[in-house]
Amino acid sequence: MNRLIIITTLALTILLVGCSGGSGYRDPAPVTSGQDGGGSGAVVSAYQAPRSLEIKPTYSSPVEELLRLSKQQQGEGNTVAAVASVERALRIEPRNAYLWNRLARLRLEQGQGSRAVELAAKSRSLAGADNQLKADNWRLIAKVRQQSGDTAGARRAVHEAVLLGE
Amino acid sequence: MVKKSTPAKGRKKSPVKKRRKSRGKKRAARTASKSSFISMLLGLLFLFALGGAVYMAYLDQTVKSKFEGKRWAVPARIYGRALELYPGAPITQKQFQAELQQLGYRKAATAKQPGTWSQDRGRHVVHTREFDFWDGRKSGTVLDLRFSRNGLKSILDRKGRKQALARMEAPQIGSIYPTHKEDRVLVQRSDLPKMLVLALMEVEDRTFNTHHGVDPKAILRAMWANLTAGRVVQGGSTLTQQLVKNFYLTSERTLWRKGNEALMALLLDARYSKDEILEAYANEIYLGQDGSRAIHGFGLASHFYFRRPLQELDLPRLALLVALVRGPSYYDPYRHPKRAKKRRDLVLDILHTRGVISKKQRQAAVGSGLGISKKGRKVGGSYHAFLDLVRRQLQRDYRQEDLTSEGLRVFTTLDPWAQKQAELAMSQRLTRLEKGRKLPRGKLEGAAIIAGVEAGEVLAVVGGRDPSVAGFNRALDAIRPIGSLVKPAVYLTALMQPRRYNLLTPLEDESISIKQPGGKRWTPSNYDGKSHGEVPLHEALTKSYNLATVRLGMDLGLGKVAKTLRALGVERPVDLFPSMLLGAVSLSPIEVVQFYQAIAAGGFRSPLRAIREVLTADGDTLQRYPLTVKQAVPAGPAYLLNWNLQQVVQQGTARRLAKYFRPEQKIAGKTGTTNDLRDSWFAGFSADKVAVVWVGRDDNKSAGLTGSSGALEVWGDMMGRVSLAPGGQMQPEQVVRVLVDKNSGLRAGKKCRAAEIYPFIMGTEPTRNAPCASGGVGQFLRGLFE
Repeated sequence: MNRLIIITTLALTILLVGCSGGSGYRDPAPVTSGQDGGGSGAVVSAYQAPRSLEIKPTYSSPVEELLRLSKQQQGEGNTVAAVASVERALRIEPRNAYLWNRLARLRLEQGQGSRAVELAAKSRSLAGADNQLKADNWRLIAKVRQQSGDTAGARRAVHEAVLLGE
Repeated sequence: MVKKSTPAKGRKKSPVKKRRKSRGKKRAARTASKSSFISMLLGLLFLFALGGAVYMAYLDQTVKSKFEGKRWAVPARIYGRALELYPGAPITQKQFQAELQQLGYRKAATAKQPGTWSQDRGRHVVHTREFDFWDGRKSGTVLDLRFSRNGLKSILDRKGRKQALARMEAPQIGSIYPTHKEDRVLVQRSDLPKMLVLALMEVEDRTFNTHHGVDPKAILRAMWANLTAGRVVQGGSTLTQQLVKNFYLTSERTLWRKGNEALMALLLDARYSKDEILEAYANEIYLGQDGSRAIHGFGLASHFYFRRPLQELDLPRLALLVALVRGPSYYDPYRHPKRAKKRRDLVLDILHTRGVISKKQRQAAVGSGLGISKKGRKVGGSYHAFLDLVRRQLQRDYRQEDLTSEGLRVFTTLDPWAQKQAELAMSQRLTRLEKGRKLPRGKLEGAAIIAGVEAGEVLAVVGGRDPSVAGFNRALDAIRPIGSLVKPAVYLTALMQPRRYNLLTPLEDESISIKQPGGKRWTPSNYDGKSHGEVPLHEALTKSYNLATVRLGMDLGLGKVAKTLRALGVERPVDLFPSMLLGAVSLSPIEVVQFYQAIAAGGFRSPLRAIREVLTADGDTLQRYPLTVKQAVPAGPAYLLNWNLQQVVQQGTARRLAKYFRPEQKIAGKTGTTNDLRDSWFAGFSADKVAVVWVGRDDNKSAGLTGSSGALEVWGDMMGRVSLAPGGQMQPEQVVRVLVDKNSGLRAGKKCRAAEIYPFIMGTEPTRNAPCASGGVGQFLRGLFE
């Protein structure tokens, strides 16, 4: 699935670069409004998916390499090393929303729920047009809320994920 | 002790008998005294033996504990970040070569050995060394790097295959010594170059492999040589004895001590193998002094004198180390190069006469210089201020003795290149400012910090104008009023109420007088002494208008502004006086970095970190200082503020910065100046780096500089020399950008002459058309935005 995300984002990136002619901002148009945390429920907007993003995660080859390494380390049960590898990748692409999501997932696996939620929020703020990734972050937040007994909060987070087309 | 026999009283005895008796008596007495003498002697001997045995046991215990216990206090080693190499990495050739120099790599015709590199224009071939990273040991390898003007273009391995990622070893930037300042780089027996071992034995202890710790023949030989020479010309100590001598902390030379050393040498030899003894010797031997730091062992001596690992030393350098054994101070190659060379050549002569090296080898070696590293033995920046930060963090988490003796390895975030550039910018620019503005010479001081935006990693710390002085660390400890640097917190507080404020909300820049809690009135004024009437919110910040800011802050409430400051990471309590709105808030430069990091990262605060990992000497991870984030303020308002801070650089109080950067780098920042020009501040950031500069005087007198004429110039010099990612901030999903007619504040069309794009929090953007935008193309454009 991760590969799918990478491919999707790459395709979108290429599409966008092609469309924007490489010059700064083009036009506005995000999908949803409402602040994070989802307190007030979501507002469905008539806009199309947003297309204005400045720094794109490029999934450069070193980042791919480190992601591969991180997954291998995770598979071996060494989440500490897996975290270190993602952090290393983040030094190369600090605004790669997928990397922040990966870090959040690893923290969740380590039982660090609140840390995972913050990382997921960071990922969401950088995810731009990647609805799938944003939905995944919401699902992670829902899970942590559920675990901490915040059923209503969890439901709201799931709702956010659903709105994003999941 | 022999008892006299007493004659029996009142009994007469014949003389013969008497004589016989007396003779017998004498004999008996003699026998008794003899036997008692023997038993006495035996007793004595026994006692002596017992004492001796106890003493030997004591010595044995000492030897054992010295040898096996904490033989070597190894200071914690502090490393900078390991340079990541990948296609597209923003590393210039110059920067890469500086890194190689820092790591002690040698330029060669071909990079055959680890620790060497060769160059053919933009192509660099590097043979890296083996290194124990935090995530395991990586063996040395050959990297073929191609650079273009923009940075690293490609990496190939030895066989010409493309590599996605590689890294250099982490450069060591410091150690934490115990109070007696012994330092070492531990080496194992197997790491000792064969030539070093041979030379040591030939010169210092020929029978090392066969003797029992002491070599009586050598002692006699030395005594004879010394007697005939009339002075001490030769020593008879074995390596084992020399090692024992080093177990003591004093260099007392008494016969008793000599005897003790000999006994301990015998014990040591009986207890341990030759290899173990040699390894201990190689790590213990005192080989020089670096200020107050004592250089122990060949491992550290190699780094100290030659800036490279022991395994990479050639014959003449190894011979110099062996030469130093006899007297590191007398033969100090820095202070007495001739003496040192003479002694080294003698070592080479001995090796030749004993057949260890050929005549040709000897000649070549004798013909070469001492090969010691030049330039005050230091390259790169000075790391006092950064290490100070690291030490403070470590001392919170570790005991002092663990830091100084356990050989911990601390991997930090320091970027030596950024550090060097920051130091240069600070010292050069302050000198230029003093000259150019006719300020008193040598009075200006400064501090600077650079950190990564998203992860809050501290890349460089400058604690003063002269970075080589490890004194007052202004970057951490100079707590000064921040002036207008506080304003972004005021405007952010407003922008966090999007229904009430946006970037175009009109503010009154008119005089104001406020009654302070003490009863006194406070009447602020603008820097230019004028008031500017009604101005849009963004302009008030761009031009740093005091009156508009105070009015805005008072409308918002001081408590709310203070709350924003706290959210952005300002932990120091803030007094809720109206003057706080103009920066009557005192912070240290590092606290300001934290404050601006949260803004630069789109509202996500990451606690500043200088340490990534702490490892034990065996390479196990003791502690990681992980990357953490916390959403401090909502992303939308943070984005609007960032946009505004870019305006400050493009057309506001920080316009001077434009000459340092390209427009697409989208630098954002804020100047700060305090009363009587005492403090000159600049805080700013690109997409990837945030930095703060303070310039002022230690005596708190006027520095004669505004934020723009002082700190900003240092900032520009400094950040202009490090790579900055272009692109500015990422637009969050809650933000829309709308073309607005500046005259009416309504939606503009193509016909509108004074139109500009402004970001808004979604739902707060103007919806009505400006008169100039009605119909035609304007309608079409509006359609586009919807």
